[in-house]
Amino acid sequence: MASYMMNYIPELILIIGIALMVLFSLFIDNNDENKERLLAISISTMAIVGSIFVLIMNSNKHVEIFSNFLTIDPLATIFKILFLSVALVSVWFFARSKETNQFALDFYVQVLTVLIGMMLMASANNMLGLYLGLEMVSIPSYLMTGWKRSNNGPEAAIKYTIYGGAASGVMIFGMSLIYGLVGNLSLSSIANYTHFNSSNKALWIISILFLFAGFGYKVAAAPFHHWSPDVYQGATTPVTAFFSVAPKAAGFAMIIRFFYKNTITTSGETVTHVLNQVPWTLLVAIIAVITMFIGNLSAIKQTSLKRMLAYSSIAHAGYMISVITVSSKMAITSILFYLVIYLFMNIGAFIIVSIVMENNNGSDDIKHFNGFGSKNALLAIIMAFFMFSLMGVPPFAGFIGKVYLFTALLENITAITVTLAVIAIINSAISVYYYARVIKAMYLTESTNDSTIDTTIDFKSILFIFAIIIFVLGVYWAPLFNLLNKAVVM
Amino acid sequence: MVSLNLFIALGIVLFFIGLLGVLIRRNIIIIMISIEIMLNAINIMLVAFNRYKFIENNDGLTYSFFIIAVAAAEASVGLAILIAVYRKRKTVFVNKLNTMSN
Repeated sequence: MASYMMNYIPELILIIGIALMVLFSLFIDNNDENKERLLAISISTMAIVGSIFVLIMNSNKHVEIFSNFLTIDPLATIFKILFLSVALVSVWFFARSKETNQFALDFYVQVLTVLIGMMLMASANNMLGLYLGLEMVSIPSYLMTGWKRSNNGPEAAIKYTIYGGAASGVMIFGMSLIYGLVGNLSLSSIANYTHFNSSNKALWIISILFLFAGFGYKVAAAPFHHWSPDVYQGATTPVTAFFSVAPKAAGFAMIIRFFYKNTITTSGETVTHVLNQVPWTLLVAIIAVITMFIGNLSAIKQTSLKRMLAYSSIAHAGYMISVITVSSKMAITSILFYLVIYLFMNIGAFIIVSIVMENNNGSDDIKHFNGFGSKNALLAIIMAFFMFSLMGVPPFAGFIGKVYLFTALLENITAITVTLAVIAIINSAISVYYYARVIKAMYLTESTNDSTIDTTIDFKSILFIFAIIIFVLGVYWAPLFNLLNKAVVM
Repeated sequence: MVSLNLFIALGIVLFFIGLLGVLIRRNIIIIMISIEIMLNAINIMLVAFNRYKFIENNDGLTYSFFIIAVAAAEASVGLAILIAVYRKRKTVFVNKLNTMSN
C-alpha cells in the first residue's frame, strides 16, 4: 500500500501545501502582510522542493495506477521535474516582483493548482485525464493573468478565458468523435484500434484537426495563438515568464502522450507514432510551418518587448511542433532537450525585462533598452547572452538545442521533413533580426534619458547562474542529453 | 427507438451553432452562453455514443459528468473576470477591448 502511494505522493504534497496555505491564512490578521508573505512563500517552496525530491527518488518507476488512468514513467517524471523547477524559480520571481502592489496569498494557491494540472497532463493515459489536466491548468491561469488590476490585466484575462473555453470545447468535440470510433477513452485502446483498423481515415483526420485546437492553444501554435500576445503583455512579467515555459511544456507532454507509443520489436525498444495508419503528419507539418512564419514575421514589428517575446515563443513552439512529424525516440529527446534550454533562456530574458520595466515606470518599450550597455554592463551582457541563445548562435545552448531538433527532423529523409527543416532554418535567419534589434538598442543607441538601471543581489545572482548554464550547456551538453535520452521510456 | 444518427446530427448542429456564436457575436455574455452550448452538444454526443454503441462501459457518461463540472467552474471564473473588466472599462463587448494590439 505504501509503495503504491509513492506513485502519487508528489501530487499529494502539493495538495497538502494548498490545504495548509488556505487553513493557516484563516489565523493570520488580514493587515499583516509580512506574515502572509512568509507563510505563502515558505509553504509553496517546501511543497515544490519536497515534490521534486520524491520524484527524483522514484525516477525509475514504470507503473500504471488508478486502473490505467495515469502512467508513472521516466518521461512523465522528467516533465514533472521540469514544471516544478520552473515553478520554483517563478515563486521567487512572483515574490520579488514589485508589479503587483498588494500581496495575495491566494495567488500561490493558484500556482500550486496549475502545477498539479500540469503533472496530470504529463502522466495522463486517458483522454479524460488530458482534458481535466488541461482545464486544471487553464482555469487558474485565467485568474493569474487578471491578477494585476491595471488597465490591461482583466482585458487579457477575459480574452484568455473565452479563447481557452472555446479551444478546449473544440478539442473535446474531437475527443468525442474518437470515442465514437474507439469506444474507450484510454490512449492504449486508441493505439490498438488504429493498429488493426485502417478504415474511417477522413473521420480520423477531422478528429485530429479538432484535437489540435486544444493542443495548439496550449502550446500557442499558429491558427490558435491569438490569445498569447495579449496575455503575455497584459499579465505581470513573472506570470508571463511562467506561462511562456511551463504550460507550453505541459502541452508538449500532452502531444507526446497522444501521438507516440513504445513498441518492442526484435531489434529492441523503439518509439513509433500511434496513428501510423492515418496520414496526419501533413496536417501537423502545415501547422508547424504557419506557426514558425507567423511567430517570426509578427515579432519583427513589435515595440513592446513582452509582445515580441510572446511572438518569439510562438516561433519556438513551431520549431518543436515540426519535430512531432518524425516517429523516433530522438524526436522526443530533442524536444525535451530544447524545452530545458528554453526554460533558462526565456525566463532569464523575462527577468531582465522586468528589471528594466521596474526602472522605467512599468513600460516595456524597446526604447528603454537604449544605452543599457553603458548603464549596467553586467546585466546588458547577460541579456545579450540570452538573445544570442534564443537566436541559436554558437557557442550558446540555443544553438545545440536547434542542432538536435534539426538532426531529429532529418533522421529519416522524406519530402515533409526536408521541407520542414529548410523552412525552420529560414525562420531562424528571420529571427536574428528582431533579437539583434535588442542588442543594437543596448550597445549602439544612445540613451535619451539618464535613468539608471540596477537591481538587487538576488536578481543578479540568479541571472548570473542562468547565463552560466546557457554557456556551459552550449559547450558541454552531452550529460544532460544522455540523461534525457535515457528518460524517454514510455 | 430514435436512431443514433439523429442524436449525432443534433450534437453536431448544436456544436457548430455554438462555435459560430463564439466567432461572430460581440457580447461576452453571449459568447459564454455559446461555449456552454458547445459543451452540451458534446455531452449529447458522448451519452448517445455510450448508450447506442458501447453499452458495456460507462466512459462516455463519466466524461460528460466531468464536462458539466468543468463548464461550471469555467463559467464562474469567466463571469468573475467579466465583472473586473466591466468595472475598468464599462463595456462587455469584445470589439471595444482592443487597447493592447499595436
